[in-house]
Amino acid sequence: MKNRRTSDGGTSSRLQALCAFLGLIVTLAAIVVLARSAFAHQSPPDLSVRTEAPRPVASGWAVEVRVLNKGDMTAAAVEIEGESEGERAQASLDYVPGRGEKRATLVFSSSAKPQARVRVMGWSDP
Amino acid sequence: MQAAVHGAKSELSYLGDLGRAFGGALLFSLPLLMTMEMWALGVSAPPLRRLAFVLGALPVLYGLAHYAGFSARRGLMNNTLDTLVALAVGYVTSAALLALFNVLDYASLTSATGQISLQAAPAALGALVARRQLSGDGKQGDEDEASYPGELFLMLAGALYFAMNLAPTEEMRLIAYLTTPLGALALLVVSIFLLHVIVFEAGFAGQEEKETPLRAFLHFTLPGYALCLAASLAMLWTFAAVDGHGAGAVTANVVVLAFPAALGAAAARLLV
Repeated sequence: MKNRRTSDGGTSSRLQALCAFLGLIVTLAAIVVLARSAFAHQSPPDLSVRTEAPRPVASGWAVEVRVLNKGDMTAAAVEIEGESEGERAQASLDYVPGRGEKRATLVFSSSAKPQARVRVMGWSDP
Repeated sequence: MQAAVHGAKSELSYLGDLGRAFGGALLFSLPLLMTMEMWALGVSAPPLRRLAFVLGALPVLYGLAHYAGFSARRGLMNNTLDTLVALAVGYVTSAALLALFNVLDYASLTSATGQISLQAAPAALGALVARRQLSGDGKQGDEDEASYPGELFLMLAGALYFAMNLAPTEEMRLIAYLTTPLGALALLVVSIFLLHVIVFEAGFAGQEEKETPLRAFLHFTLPGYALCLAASLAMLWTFAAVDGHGAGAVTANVVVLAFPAALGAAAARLLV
């Protein structure tokens, strides 16, 4: 222990300097990213949906839905509803992060390819 | 020639320190890395509080680098380097494991950064205390000569670590809702009692000869418990756990969380 302290004391390890530099860069980058989102004007969640082409599944048709959040704040407990020829399908998402997107799938049991109208029913603050 | 050999030796010994740091980071951050509330909080916690958490962690990590640190050297420069390396280890460990578990939210840069940053702080803390925990030679470090504020700081660090581990979980809130006011009061008394017994029995170096139980209670237990309450409140605030709660509900939450925090504060002396 005493030896280590004296033998290490003078020369600083190059590896240590390298790792410390990496730590500095990574930490500063994280702080910058978090600070930007903390101090920028935070617009409320603004959700929109895009549906993809239905694909046949065992129980009918699956319609994949992309939910986009154009706002800065995260929306939680997002409810999505789709309607096709009188049939309704629902899905919920735990979170849609600000400026991000999440996917959900709605399932319709009709034998014909559904023409789904999809909307976001609502969400809550996280 | 001799200098080159010496340099290689020094690099090799540092590689060992670094390995222990990664081990400590894993050991201390795994419970949180595998807690689903933490993944969500990285995205859903208010941005300003996520930032405050990351910034607030820096002085705590620096303090731990001073009292524990994973390399044997000390001093302002080396403590800073140790802190930064611990942060690098913390970020790498948490990013790698969260990516491996496939729980990172790549939807936006901020969400993934928030998730990794929340986990990097406890991982960095683990990296810093690793030398104590994993190296076997337990008599390294400066905390044996730690001053009174130093002792309190170590208690605060222990309290923060334990509070951080439990504050994100839903169970803390549930216990606070379910417990009666009398139950919360009893928990408070038990917390203080255990903190005192462990601190006094474990003994603060150079203190126990002079200290009577009453003096130790006034000098360490009471301020220590106050730090536990502060640490609990800070963690509950960070994770937005008591937003919109009344004073009574906030107090119940703080007292419930201060119970593990008190054990952490007491154990900090044994662990670090």
